[in-house]
Amino acid sequence: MLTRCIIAENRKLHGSVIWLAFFIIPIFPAIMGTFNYTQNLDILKQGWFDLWTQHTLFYALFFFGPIVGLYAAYLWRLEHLGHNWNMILSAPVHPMYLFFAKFVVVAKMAVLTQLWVFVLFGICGHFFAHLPGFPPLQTLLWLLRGSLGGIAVIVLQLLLAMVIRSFAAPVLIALAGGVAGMAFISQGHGLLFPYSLMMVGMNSNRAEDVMTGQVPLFLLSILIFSVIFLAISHVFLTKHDVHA
Amino acid sequence: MRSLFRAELRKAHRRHDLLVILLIAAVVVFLSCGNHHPDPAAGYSALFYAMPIMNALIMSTGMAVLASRIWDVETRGNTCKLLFTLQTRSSLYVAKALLGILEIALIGLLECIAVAAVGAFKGYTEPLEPSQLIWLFVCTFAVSLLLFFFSFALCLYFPSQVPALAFGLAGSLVGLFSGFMPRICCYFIPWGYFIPLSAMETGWNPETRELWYIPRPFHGALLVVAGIFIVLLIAAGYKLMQKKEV
Repeated sequence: MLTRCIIAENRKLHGSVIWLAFFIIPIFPAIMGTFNYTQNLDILKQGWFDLWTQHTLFYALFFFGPIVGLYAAYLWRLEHLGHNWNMILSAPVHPMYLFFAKFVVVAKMAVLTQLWVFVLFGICGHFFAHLPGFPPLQTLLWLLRGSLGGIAVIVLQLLLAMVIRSFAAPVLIALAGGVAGMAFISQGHGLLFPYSLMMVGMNSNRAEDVMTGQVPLFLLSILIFSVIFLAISHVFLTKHDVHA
Repeated sequence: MRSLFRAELRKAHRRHDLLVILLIAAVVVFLSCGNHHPDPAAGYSALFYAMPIMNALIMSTGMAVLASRIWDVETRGNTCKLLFTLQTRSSLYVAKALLGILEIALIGLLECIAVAAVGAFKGYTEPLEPSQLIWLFVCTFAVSLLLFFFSFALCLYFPSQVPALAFGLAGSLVGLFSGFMPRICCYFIPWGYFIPLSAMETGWNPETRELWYIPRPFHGALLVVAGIFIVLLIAAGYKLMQKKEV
């Protein structure tokens, strides 16, 4: 049944305007990052790694959360329209299957976004920054680790989009979360806040790996936050009554 | 008209618009203070420099959220058919535009109050220049209005709210990016108008790593350009409302 739910959720994205956000938004941090890099070549000497710091700085700080928020809000919005909410609660499917299906689809979109960021990183590095060779494999691993860190944000955004029933508000909360996440990281508490986890995982604005020896804690933090948000979502979906 | 505006206020109350307004202002103030100059003798100058930059980053998304919420209530409730039989399309547009203007004015006002409050709390010794504060309010209000009516037009044009928010997010990046570009480029990027309109700039000595703030003249011509954009966007939104199919 979960597989069918995932297929149904995937179908909702066919021909959707959400792909517009997917393609367009990551282009801007790429342009900004490359411009910054080329303007500061006298102090940025580490090639691909320095380009990485410039590319991921604004993307991870301010835009990963809102993009994920946009994906989550789009999927939940369809259930908030008309009488769809009543339908999903009365359908012969456990409501959490629906939540998990949405989680899988948003996670897939988030990973695709990260890969698109990597492609843009490679294109900008090769053609505009004129860096030799290919992007280091380590940066791809950081991107995938960032996706892992993004799991807690995805679950939280799905929860917010489900509860708030507004398309735009969860996106604004994600933006505020990114700002707060930056403050947590600057205080050295990046693992204690869900919106910081993605930035920590991405190694954003750092040429050296900041997570040496901290991977178990990082994974534990993702697990704890995800379980908490899933539990709250479970309570909402199973105990909360229908608001027609 | 008064009853129509009151109806919009009631919808805003149910949507908790005040919370959204507070959140937008709080994020801008928090970010501006985070970049803060530690010298109390240049405290307000640092704030007047940082706030337009943070406005450029936050307001595009913030205004898209505000516009989306103001229009989305009709989309979700599928109320357009009913409303267009009860009131004229123009009256609905005017009521929503007035509400947006009021909410944006509130955001500008909250930012100005926050400047004074942060200064008092942190014990700045620099005197607070009222003209700078008024200019900050006027510029924040005008450029936010421009971004709001742009997003509102997108909400009216597209059946989905995604394009307005996607453009809002992209506008945030473009607006911030314009701050790093040559001055002439800034004039072609309305999302970043907060920065060229700012009445404070910085001087930097790379040898001593010393940073200082220099007041600059108010850029009235650019404010007029922003005003022209606002009028054009209001007219575009009005036209879209008139032609909207329900």
